[in-house]
Amino acid sequence: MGTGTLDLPVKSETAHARMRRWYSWENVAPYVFISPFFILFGIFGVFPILFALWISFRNWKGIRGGEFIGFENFTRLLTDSFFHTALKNTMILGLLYTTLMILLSLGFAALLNRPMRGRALYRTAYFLPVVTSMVVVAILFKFFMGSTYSPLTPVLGMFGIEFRGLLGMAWAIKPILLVMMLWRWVGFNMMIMLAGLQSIPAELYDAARIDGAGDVQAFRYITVPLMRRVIAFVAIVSTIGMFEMFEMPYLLLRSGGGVDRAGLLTAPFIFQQAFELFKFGYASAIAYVIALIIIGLSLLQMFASERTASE
Amino acid sequence: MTEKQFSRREFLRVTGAGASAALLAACQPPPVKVEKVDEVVVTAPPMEPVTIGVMTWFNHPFKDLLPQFKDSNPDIDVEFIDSGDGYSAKVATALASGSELADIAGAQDNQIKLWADTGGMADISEYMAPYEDKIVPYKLANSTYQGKTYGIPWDGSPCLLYYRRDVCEQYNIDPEAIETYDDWLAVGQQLVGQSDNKHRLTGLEKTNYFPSLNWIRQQGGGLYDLEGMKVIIDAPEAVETLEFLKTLWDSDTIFQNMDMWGTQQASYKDGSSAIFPQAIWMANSIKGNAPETAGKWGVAPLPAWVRGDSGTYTYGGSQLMIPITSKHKEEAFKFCEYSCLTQAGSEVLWTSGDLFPVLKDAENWEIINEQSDWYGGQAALRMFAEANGKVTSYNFGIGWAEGRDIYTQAVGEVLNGDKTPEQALADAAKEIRDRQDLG
Repeated sequence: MGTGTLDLPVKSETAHARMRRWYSWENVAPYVFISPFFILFGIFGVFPILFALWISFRNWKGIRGGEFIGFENFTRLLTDSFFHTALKNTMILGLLYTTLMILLSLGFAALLNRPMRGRALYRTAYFLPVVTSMVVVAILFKFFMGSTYSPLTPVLGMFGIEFRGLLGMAWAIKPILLVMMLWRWVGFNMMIMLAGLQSIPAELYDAARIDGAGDVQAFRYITVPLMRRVIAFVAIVSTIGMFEMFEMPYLLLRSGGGVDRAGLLTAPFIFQQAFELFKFGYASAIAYVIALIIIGLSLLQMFASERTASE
Repeated sequence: MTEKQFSRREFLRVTGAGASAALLAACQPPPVKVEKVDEVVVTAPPMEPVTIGVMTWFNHPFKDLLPQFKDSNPDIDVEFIDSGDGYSAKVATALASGSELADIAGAQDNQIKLWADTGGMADISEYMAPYEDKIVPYKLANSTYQGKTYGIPWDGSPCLLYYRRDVCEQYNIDPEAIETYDDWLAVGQQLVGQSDNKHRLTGLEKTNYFPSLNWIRQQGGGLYDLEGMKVIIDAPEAVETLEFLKTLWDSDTIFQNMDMWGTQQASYKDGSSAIFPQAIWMANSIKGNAPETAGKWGVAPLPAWVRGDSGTYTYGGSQLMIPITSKHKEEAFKFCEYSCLTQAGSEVLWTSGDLFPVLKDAENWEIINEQSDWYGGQAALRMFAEANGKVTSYNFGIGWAEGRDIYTQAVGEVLNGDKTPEQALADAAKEIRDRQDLG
């Protein structure tokens, strides 16, 4: 043995000891503490998603089961005129809703980002519909605007206007849904936009002003480009929200969508197929197709946003 | 010999076991009955009370009959479950998934066949066999699916023409003189004209099946034939009914686009809806929403399509059912049986909830002839009983929910003026046939 080295007996760790060390409380504790989320997510998130996929290939009738039918539920979507109506209505409303939502929420946020009297009051007022019960809103709307039995009927009658209620008019249904959804969510998206605006350094605006830029130019060349990711976020969330919109159309028009199915949207249609008609397999197939459409649209928006940025 | 030493741990273990045994002994229920037979003591096992859960959207009449039920069934406790909002979706999900629900749940007549098809409802044919001849046929027809009985008929739902006495007196209208639907429309025009649009006949919704589909049934038609194999919604009586509905809609004698519940109730309260066909159970809702109108209401026979005809119809109506997951099916049936299939129970359902008895011999009960203060002293139950006796059987069919949805769209098309009744109903019938593979 060379000098200066000391050969000490090395205590070799047995496999058993290694296992014991690995399974010691100190090592396991973090996993135990984070496990409730994963257990609940597994039960209420992952399992239903996988189960829905399984029943989308079956003629599932509840506990009586149902036979495997391959892609029949998916191919049926191609010929179901009610599904086409629901998808078309949702797309039209989604396009209008997302566009108007971006314009309104960004516009209101830009206005309320300036120093002005009563700014906090305005911000609160715009946010108030977000915390208002949609059930109450829908009932009040139905009462005031829905039918001939409305306090508006005699009032408008004095001016020679015949009011027959808006919910029975097919042409009025989409604008009603659009206005109510914008009213409901513009405050929420405005707050997101406001947070984005406040993250833009004030020096950029100061420099622009020194260079002679006006308010419109500053908005066009500073605010909009720097808010690109926030706008993309609002666009994606609004698109997803449109496809998931259930409570308002259901409360106003039930699952049928009202006259001419003008208010038939995809979420109430899925509900109708599953819980009113018990076509669980078909409803699951629709849900999967809608999920794919949402993913596709979201990717498209993200791609468009990134491309604009690179240009 | 060594003396055994008790450690502190052993001492605590023994003491604990002794205390537990004493506690269990104290908690044991006393023997119910002790019989002495030839010096041999026989102890009958104690009867454990069974608790059953009842979940409907209208529990309070059952709560009211509970004391009477307990008198004859002391071994059955009943727990009422408040379902909250979304009753049908909750029950449907539980039935389809086989998860526990309650021992008894309510179902609309039109839901029984669809819900039974999930396999989530118990077949109660054996329990119901003794009652088959005692129940009015149209309720019994709605309680069965594929030859098996799944529902216990809860309430009959005959309709009459409700009217506000004060409004009719004010405008000199005799509702008893309304014999046909044309008479009803004429009375409406008189009412609207004299009251300057303040009062109308009723409110209607473009995409609702009531009352037009019920009017079609009054003439012997419907969505499906009695076997549920043929779609008959394009029959001549249906076309004629929608022609009248369109005339009524355009006449200004009704409130248009009126939601069938919320605003309808408000219009009953202020009397703006003054003369309208409705089911017996609606009285209970009006009593709750507009108690101040007690005594101002009356009922008259329904208008006929042809003068002299006496056809009637129903609206709504429910059943009780026992989910397959119930662990106490026998006890659950006992409660249903007492509630709906005995005179004592049925009378409480009527007095507490305006729920009409489903038993044929109800016509002979004394209570039927009692005058009702709410109906201004009329023997209203007698009138409803007469209407109920004339209701002919009909079939909701397993595809009713989808068929109804398609039908109501056809109604909307007619009222919009987009299609003639003949076209709209022909298209609707074809759509239902194609989707449900029926003739």
